[in-house]
Amino acid sequence: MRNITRLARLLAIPLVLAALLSDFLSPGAPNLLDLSQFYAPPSHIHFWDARGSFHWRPFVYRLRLIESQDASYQEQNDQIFPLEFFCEGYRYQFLGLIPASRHLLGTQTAGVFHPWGTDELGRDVLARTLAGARSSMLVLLFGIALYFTLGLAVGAFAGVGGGWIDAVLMRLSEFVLALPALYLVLAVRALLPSQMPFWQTAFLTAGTIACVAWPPMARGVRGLILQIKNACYVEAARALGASRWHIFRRHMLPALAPFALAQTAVAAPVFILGEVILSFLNVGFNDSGASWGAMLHNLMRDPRVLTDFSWNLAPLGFVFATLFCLNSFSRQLRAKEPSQLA
Amino acid sequence: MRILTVILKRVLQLAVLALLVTSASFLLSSLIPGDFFSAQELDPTIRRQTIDQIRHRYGLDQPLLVQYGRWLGRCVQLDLGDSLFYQRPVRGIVLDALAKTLWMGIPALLLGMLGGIFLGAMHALNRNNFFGLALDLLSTVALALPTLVLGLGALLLAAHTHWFPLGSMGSASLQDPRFLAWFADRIHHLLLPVACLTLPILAYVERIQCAALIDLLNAPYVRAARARGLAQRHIFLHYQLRPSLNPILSTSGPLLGSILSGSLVLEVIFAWPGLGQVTLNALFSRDLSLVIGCVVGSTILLVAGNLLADILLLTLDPRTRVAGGAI
Amino acid sequence: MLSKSKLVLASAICLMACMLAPHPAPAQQQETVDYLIRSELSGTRGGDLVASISTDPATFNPMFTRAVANALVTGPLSADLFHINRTTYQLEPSLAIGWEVAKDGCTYTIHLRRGLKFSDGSPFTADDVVFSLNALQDPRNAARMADQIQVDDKFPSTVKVDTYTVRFSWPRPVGTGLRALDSIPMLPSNRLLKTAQDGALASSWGPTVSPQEVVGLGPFRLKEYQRGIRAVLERNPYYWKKDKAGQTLPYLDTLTFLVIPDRNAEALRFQAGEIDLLGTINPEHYAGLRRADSAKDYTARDLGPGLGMDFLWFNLNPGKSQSGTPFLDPEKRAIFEQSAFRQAVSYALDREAMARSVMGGMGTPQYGPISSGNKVWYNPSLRTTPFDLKRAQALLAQIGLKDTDGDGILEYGARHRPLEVVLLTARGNAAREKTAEIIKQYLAQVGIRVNVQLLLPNELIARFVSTFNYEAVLFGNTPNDIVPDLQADVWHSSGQSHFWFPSQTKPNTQWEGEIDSFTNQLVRSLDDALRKKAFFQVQEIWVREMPAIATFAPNILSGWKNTLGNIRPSILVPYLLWNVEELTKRTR
Repeated sequence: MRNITRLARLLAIPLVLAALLSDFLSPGAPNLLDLSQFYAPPSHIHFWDARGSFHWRPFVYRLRLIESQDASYQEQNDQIFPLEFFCEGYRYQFLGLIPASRHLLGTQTAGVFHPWGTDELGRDVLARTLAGARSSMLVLLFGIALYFTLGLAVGAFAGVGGGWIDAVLMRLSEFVLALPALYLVLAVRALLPSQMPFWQTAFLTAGTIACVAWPPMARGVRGLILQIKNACYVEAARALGASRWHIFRRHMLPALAPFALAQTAVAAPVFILGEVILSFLNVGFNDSGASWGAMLHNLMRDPRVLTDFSWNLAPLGFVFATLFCLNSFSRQLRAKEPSQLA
Repeated sequence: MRILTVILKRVLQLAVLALLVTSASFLLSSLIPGDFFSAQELDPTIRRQTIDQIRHRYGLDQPLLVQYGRWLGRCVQLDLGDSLFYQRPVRGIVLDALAKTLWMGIPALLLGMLGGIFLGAMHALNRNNFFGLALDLLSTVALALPTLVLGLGALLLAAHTHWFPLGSMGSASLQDPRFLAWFADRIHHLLLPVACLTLPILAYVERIQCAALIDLLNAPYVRAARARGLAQRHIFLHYQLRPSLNPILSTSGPLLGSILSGSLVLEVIFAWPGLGQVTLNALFSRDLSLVIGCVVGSTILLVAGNLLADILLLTLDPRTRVAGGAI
Repeated sequence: MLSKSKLVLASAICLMACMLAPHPAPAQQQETVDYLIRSELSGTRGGDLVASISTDPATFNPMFTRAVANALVTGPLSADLFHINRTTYQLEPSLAIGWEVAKDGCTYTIHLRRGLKFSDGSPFTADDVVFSLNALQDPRNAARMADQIQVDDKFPSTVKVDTYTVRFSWPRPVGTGLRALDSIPMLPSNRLLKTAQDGALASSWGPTVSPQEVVGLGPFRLKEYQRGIRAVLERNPYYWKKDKAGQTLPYLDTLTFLVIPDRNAEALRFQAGEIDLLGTINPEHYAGLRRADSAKDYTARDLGPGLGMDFLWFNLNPGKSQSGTPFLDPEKRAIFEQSAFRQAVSYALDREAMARSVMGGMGTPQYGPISSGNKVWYNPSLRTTPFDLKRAQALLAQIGLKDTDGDGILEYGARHRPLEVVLLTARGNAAREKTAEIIKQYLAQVGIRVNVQLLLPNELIARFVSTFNYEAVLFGNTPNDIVPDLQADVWHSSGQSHFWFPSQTKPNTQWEGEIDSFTNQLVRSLDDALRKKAFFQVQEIWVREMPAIATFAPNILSGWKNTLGNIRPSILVPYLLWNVEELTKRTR
């Protein structure tokens, strides 16, 4: 088990890095179409050229489309494009703030080097996968923040308030639990009007999912509070005249924290998955931007992606890796909980 | 007596839920322009009057509140209206589609739970050897594989080997009217989707079962029983297995939910004409009555499943029948 | 000597004998049956053709089908008075044997074939024709097909002259003439009269109907239907077409339609041999099928551009919504209204590259209002706007759009706002979504920033048909016939389908007025040469003014098994099944 968590931690670091540094790591822009290079296979890196001479600097050839019906390409041996580190490329904003134009690996001429091939419109798959990581991380962050606050707030009100507030909120949570979540999210999404800027779409996706996911957290928090409510130190604080809010903040919150964190970690995958599934079913929020689900959606439309153009399935690996890390972290956090709360 | 209260509670819950959900759908639908027949307005050979006549026939030209009222009235008689897309009563379509989803869902649930209980027990008993470690890793991996990834991977497998059919419910060339042949063909088509749906459930149940059993392995009453000289196997079956089922049945609610959403994705991937596909079609074509019918249908399924879990819990675990028990 | 009583007895016996002897049958009234003889056709009977449909049929009444999949099933069940040959595009007599048109050009006298029977044996007469055409016009039925025969919002009158003659007249001469009667089915009046009187015709013959109830004049009749699985049609023994050898058509014994909603599954099953033909194949499947076809036993063919294509158009509607806000920003509209702007957009698009990547090369660039696949009506000398970025930029500069702040986007209007256009298109169609993305990139290269929004199809249509609040739309549809009269509502400025600015009271611009007058010539004149000339003019004006910018027309790709005979593929619906009564299948 410890090995698994170690593996998860090792995986998580590059994932987060990939999300943060997505532009730096991409040789090409994620939304730049290149209609002469659609469904192009990953670039082969060569050291020896067609005439047999060795180059210290690895290079790639440009691909020429021979047959558009089945997107077959041929390398053009006449011109070599050497790979460079910290190459000049398209402009972007590093970490969203600093304008930059250097990329980790690339060629002087744009649109030639595609380490993971291209998609149906000639957009670089690596760039899109990393950009998808960015939007998934964003949805995840918004999501767990919303989930944490919503669940904690509802549970706290129910537990501390007691009486009819408790009854109403718990009934509400039962209702929400009994709802067919995905169907509802789908219906809401499909019936809502469409386009908004990037941050808003991420927020809305996270919000919709959080609205159907909060009950387990709220119920758990409430259960815990009920247990703690009758503890000696709480009674003592009450006897000393502390206000309910003070009791909650000083005495209950620290006890709740491990459970809340663990529960959040358990629920985190839902946000990633929810966004991926929504985009996969073509009712996602993020329309022309890159998203893992949208990249996978194309697979259902064009079955050749499964057999002939399988480099487009890169997001699958990323989804799996992200979920693996999140699950391992949640297990680790749960293991730290005192057993009575598990 | 408790069972009766549980049933009543769930039925009430269903009624309120259905009402809430349908009102919300009607409301949302009123927010955006367009309805089912908007697509007809595109055809230049059709006059606007004809489309208005069609709308009038189906009552779509009346204000939403009136439509909602009429819908509610029919709903009380258990008539969910007609689907514009399929031109049939919604009730029939939803029941049909539900049945097809259950073809996938029930085997997955049964296999997943039984298999998970079994594996969980094995894991708990073999915690410290290689078998246990392997199960641990496998379950972590399986939990990280959402049905989406699994399904696409399975489709890839089917495309490359040719051992499995690539989706849909049955082969068209099957002219054989014998039940056995039809059934065998159906099973063949079910193999991949059910496998994809079972795996996450298996892992989840295994995890819970293992944790529950480990808790009970050294419980006081178990030690007492061992001290009395009862056989290990007897102790395991009667003193440990049954109580360990409690957490699984308690969490079977969300499990059902994940089956529904998992099967939706798998239905799209494997072209299985179940409730998920029907819902998506209805959403895309703005067939309001069918959308609502599908959501209500899935709600009913969920509530029914929860009810079943509650009843099972009550019968299997006597602790819950005591006042102030787990429910 | 015979006694009197013996005489009486003998005569009685003779009389009885005469009475009991079999009478010679009275000379039989030879009933003439006007079969349609296809003297160039020959084939052997037998076989079951398996085709596929994407959804269950909603009705078996051919007059009230809405979906194309439904029409595939009901088509073989019924017959029309006249039928358009889907390869020669000529109108051919079907249930009618001939017609005359009166001097005024409005009235047609149609002679029906005599002696024909419905699939249940009941006779076909003029009563059925009158019944069917009246049922079409009944507002209670709200038939989609009804608008095919209406002219200037009025329906023609149908009058029975005698058992086999009908008179049919429109309020004014109609250019397309009797073409409007193509695919209008003749329903049996004796079965459906009561239902029609009750106004329930549109819901008759639903999916639960028993097969014997569905009666028609088509080559097949309904045998069985299993919902979600298949619909099976069997040969109609009373069919009225014969081949060269005098054999009654159809050749096929049965016609099976499998319900396969998923296009991928459909292509796979065709490749596996479970389906005998595919009317349309998606480009992504075509390559794989083509690769295997020489080794396999089927033929996959690219039939060239079809009639359907997507258009990009800008909102030119100067109106206001109910709350008083104009449908779109007037300054932006002023830009859209300049034909130089639309021309520039057209020059900025590389249609070849689009067709290559979106359709895998199986698409043909288009510039005019109709597809070049319409070989009869397409103007062969039509000017095109080839891909020319510099020309596009020059045109935009010409109308005063400049990039003053160097951000790559042109500015417009008094406040120098960046030129951003919201492009709406429908979800669910992969090719269209891709085209929208491509348009976005090309227009960015000339300094127009495009935001693509994907809407649900019905929502999108409502936006540009009812609420008119949009800036630009990418959408299209497929006409059912080659004659441009069907889309007169699109060309004419008063038409409801004149999408960029519908239902005008008088033409808003001079060029729209010119198109109007040519369109009127087209629909009213009976002289084919004049009609063609008029429509060629419409196409010229269109390419000059570009009210809607065509992109490319997807090619029609069809495939069929080599065991099928008499296949005559067409780019018109239903592609391979339009001559289903002629198809043969080799059964080994």
